[in-house]
Amino acid sequence: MLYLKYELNKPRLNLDLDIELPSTGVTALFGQSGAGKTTILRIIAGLEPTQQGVLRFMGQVWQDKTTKIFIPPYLRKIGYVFQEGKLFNHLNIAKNLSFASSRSKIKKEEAEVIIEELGLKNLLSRMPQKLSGGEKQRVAFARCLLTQPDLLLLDEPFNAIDVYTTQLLIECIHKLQLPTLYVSHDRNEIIKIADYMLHIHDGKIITHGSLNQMLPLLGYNGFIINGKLISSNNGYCCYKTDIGSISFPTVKTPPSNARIYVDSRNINLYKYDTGKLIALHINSIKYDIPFYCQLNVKLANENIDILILKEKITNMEIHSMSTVFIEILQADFIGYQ
Amino acid sequence: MILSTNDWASLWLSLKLAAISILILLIIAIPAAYWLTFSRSRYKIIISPVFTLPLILPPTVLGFYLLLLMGPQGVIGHLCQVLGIEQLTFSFSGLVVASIIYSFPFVVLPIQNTFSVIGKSSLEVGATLGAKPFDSIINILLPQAKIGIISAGVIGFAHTIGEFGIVLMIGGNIPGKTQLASVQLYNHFEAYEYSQANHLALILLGLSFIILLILYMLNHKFSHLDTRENALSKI
Repeated sequence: MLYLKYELNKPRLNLDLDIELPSTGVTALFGQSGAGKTTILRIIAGLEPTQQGVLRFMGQVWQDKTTKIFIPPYLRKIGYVFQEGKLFNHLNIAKNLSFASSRSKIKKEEAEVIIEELGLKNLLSRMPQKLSGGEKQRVAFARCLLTQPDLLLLDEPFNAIDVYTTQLLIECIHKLQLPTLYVSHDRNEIIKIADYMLHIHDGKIITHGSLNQMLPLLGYNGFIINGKLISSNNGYCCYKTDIGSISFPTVKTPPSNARIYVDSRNINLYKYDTGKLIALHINSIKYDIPFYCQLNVKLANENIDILILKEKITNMEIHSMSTVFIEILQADFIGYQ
Repeated sequence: MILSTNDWASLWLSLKLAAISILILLIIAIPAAYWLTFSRSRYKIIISPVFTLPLILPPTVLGFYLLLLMGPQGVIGHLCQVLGIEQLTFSFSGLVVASIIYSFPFVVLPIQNTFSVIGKSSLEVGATLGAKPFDSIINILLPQAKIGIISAGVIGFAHTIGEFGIVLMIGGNIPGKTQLASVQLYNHFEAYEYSQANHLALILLGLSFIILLILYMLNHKFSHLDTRENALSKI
């Protein structure tokens, strides 16, 4: 668990935070430019010069104004990927990487695995000025992993980089299973990578919750589930998920581990189970939205809102605290799990 | 080209003074430039003009006050007497002190400018990679600033060789001890020895040209590198 309570008054930013964040998965800090997202990462990294507020991570106090504790950035066990990589231009790639590994004393074999995984072997003798944006970001990512961090801080890591690098880094982030705070203003990117999300505006946290709870804010109407491939044939795939086994048609080769987005327009609701449907518990229903009704349903272990066309449930007579059954007509693979 | 023994001695003394001064200056100027660039101290606004004052102050004004301070009645002069150290006025040590003070802004400002161009972000990256502040300065900041530091050293060296007013006031005109090339040139001029003055002037002119050539060659050599490293253009 990461707890942060902080107030900061800057000329163009008044930050007022009091938040507990999950200690697992990827937490996205979402908001417009200038909302204070990067400043939050900098506070957590210990890079903001005003040493105030309270910051605890996994039971360790990183800073506390009242007890005058301030753990400097070099002792915080963080891996920080800055915007545009920020490689040291006077060092070649091998030396950029060894700058981190020599200080963290990571085992040589582990370091080699990171370098191999991120495809950096051929870049080691090159200077940062000679690399593309994507290559620089891969080096920056490897360099931060070589510090053996307990917490990853990623500041818009996929800005202006190629699809291949983005995919590689997202795969890597998922594999690592390190608690990660990730800054972005790109909603399409967030749904690929995040598990939890904070919406920040003008230095204040407007709302926060699991990705599914925050999907409407990102302009999506549906839900996201992670699944393991059970079978795939005749253009249909079947995945085991937290809400049961789901099948849907696909034209792509289904990945063995997938992050699946189901749009509410692509589900049919039934009052009774026909044997292959998925049960959903309805907590509440709101009818005050034109053309739609808002269902608050229990999905796996969380309550989420989805909008369903009123005409789909006109004759069903469903009500709060009841169970409905859904059929998934179509779903999309997102992310690269 | 015929130079007298005194001419050669004055040239050698000028070069020796410039070399010693610049070594000491770099040792002082690098931390000072770091403080001026990265410190958030409220006193910076007062200290900065003090550091750069010799830049605009007439050398004679600076020389006059240094003479007062270093003279037997001055604070530094009195301290020297108490400690049993050689008086700084009319001595080579006095020239070194005066040169350091006079050339200080010419060395500290280019380095400060280089540090500003590099910015604190490199140091922050170093900190997140586990480097302590001194480690970051030695292994990140200084290597990135090396061209700016070398340039500052070259400028400081050239400036020290060209000093006249302040060295004349502090050091006087003692052959072999405080008589620098610029002072010796003035001596020739006053004695209507235009030919000898010309020879010495030509050597100083050539020396200045070589120094500037080194500066521009450095600039050219490193111009292909990232602009943050190439701070010469900002000097």
